[in-house]
Amino acid sequence: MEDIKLLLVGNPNAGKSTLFNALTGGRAKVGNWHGVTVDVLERKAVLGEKRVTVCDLPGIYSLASMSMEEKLTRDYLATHDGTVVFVSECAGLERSLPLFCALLQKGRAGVLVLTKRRSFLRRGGSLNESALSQKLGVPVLIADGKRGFREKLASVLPVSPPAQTIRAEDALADAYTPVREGLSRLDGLLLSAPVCIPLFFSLVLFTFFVTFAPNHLGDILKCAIERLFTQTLAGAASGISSPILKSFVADGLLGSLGGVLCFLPQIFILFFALLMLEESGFLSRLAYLTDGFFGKLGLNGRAVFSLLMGFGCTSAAILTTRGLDDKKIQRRVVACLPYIPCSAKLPVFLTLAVSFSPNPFLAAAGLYALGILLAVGMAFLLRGKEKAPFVMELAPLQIPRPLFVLKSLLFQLKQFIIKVATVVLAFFMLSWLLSSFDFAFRLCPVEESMLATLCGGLRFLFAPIGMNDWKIAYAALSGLIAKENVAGAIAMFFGGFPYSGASGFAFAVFMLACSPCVSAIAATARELGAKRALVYAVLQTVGALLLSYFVYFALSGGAVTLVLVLMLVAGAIIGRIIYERIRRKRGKHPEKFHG
Amino acid sequence: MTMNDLQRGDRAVVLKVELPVLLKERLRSLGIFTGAKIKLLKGSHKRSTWLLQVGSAHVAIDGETAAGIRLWKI
Repeated sequence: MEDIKLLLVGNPNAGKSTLFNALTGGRAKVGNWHGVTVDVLERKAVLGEKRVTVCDLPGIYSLASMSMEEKLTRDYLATHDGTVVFVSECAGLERSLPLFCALLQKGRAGVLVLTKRRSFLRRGGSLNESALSQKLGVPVLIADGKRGFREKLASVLPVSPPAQTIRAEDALADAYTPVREGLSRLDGLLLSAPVCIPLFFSLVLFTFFVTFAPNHLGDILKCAIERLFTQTLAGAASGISSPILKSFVADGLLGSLGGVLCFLPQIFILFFALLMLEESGFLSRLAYLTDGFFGKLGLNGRAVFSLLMGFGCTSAAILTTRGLDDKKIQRRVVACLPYIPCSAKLPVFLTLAVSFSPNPFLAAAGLYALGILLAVGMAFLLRGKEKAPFVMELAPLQIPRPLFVLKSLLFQLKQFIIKVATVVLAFFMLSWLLSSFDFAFRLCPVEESMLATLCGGLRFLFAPIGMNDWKIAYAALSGLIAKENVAGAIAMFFGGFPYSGASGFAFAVFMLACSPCVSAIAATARELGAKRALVYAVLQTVGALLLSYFVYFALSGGAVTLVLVLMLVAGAIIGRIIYERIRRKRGKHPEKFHG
Repeated sequence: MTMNDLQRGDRAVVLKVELPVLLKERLRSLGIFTGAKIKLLKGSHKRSTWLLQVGSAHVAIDGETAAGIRLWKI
């Protein structure tokens, strides 16, 4: 069998990752916005009788590319051979074809794959693919979502470079009529701030309400799973005669994993809302409308995508910052992202919410709002004098495809369950072992266990906020591995959060503002370097600790509060001054745009 | 004339793009180059960001970038 390398190239949001998934059965992240794919994905597949390696490359506009992920594609194309499978929307062919022609001129063999033909024809465009194929000297295929595309592609492989190349305009003459249409009525409405911004906040509030409010969908489903763990399974575990096995199953396995898995429905609803925003093209409108606001913070509208992705997973959101065009803006967004509560913090917030608010909806919404404020505050603190340029093509408005949404949701849930069944489970097995036995490996109370000896010193960490308990500190720090661990550790040690009022809220604030998990730190290291990632993580954790002390004292009153406020403000101002001085000393004046 | 001098719905031809090379290249790949026709669809609050129609695409650009695009109203 032949082995052919296929490089999926095209403008952002042309449908490359969708094609990659269709050809390979892969699960590359797809979305209706520009810059979803930020890294090269490779996967082997068999098309007909041909063995192929399909590479999904980040979207690129031209070979003189600008953004970080475009540079990645350009460099990959410069160093790797293979047949270019150039993916273009029919409506965008006029703009993207010059890039394909430029690649053909470089001696590449290529296939042109056109997507979204039905909507193009419906909007009045016309296309003669056989004429286009003849002029370009390469196969032109239509990917219209119907079966048989794999076979069609296999039938034209392998492809040779065209004998002679042609200019894009000449290729399109008489073979292509573009669509020329203005804004639809709905688009016009969504692109107006008085409609779009309130609509966005209403959608967010509605999602939070359905997710967190008592006796609503999220809560009802959560209680059902809780019952499964606390009554049915724990009931079955009570019949186990061996005390060690019983402790392992009841406290370790059901207590901790149940404490995390019961939040599955709420995470499901949150991801569903995020997917709908992504898929509908709403985020592009929001990016356009918020560019002015983000410009004042030294960011640009494009940051909306990464910040909103942060509600799902901080680590994935950090990787999307590659599409931000400018390294300095990327650094600012990466510094802000840990304050945007990711879905893994949701179980923690809901575990803690009962301690300081009778209404979990208000508590969770308040914590999310505080997270957004902290992120904006951080951006403000790091803002530069220059505004980052903003140039973005609006993704089309569309009704989210139900099958796609369902598949994406199931994939996210699978990822969550895999994480719980691997990282979280391994952590709890170790925690149970260390907290159930002493150094002579005899079953003992937790306070006499190995873990108590090893982590006893941590008790001072949260003593200033009224929690002189090493188990709380251990739970908090376990969040560095995976945030879900915090909720599970609390469930394992205490059943529920044992503190109330100011202590509970201050601890929630610590969880909100502290360093993200190791996978997010690794993502930061990948984007900004290990040293910077480590500095960010340490500063965020120390900052979160100080903030939680401040919140506690502010809530419990006292003169110390005033001193702490002054210390925090002074620290922020001094930090900013030192930062400016270092910049001036190094002669780092505001960089010109990619100059 | 720049974007600031256009009204919503106005059409114009790009006369010159006076911006850094890479930004110029990005605009070119989106169809904004000397001789290209554009239509102003919308300006955001305080005209900080503009929305243009370029061919079949809708392109958003910020005010400072837009200021570097010289236009001729048609």
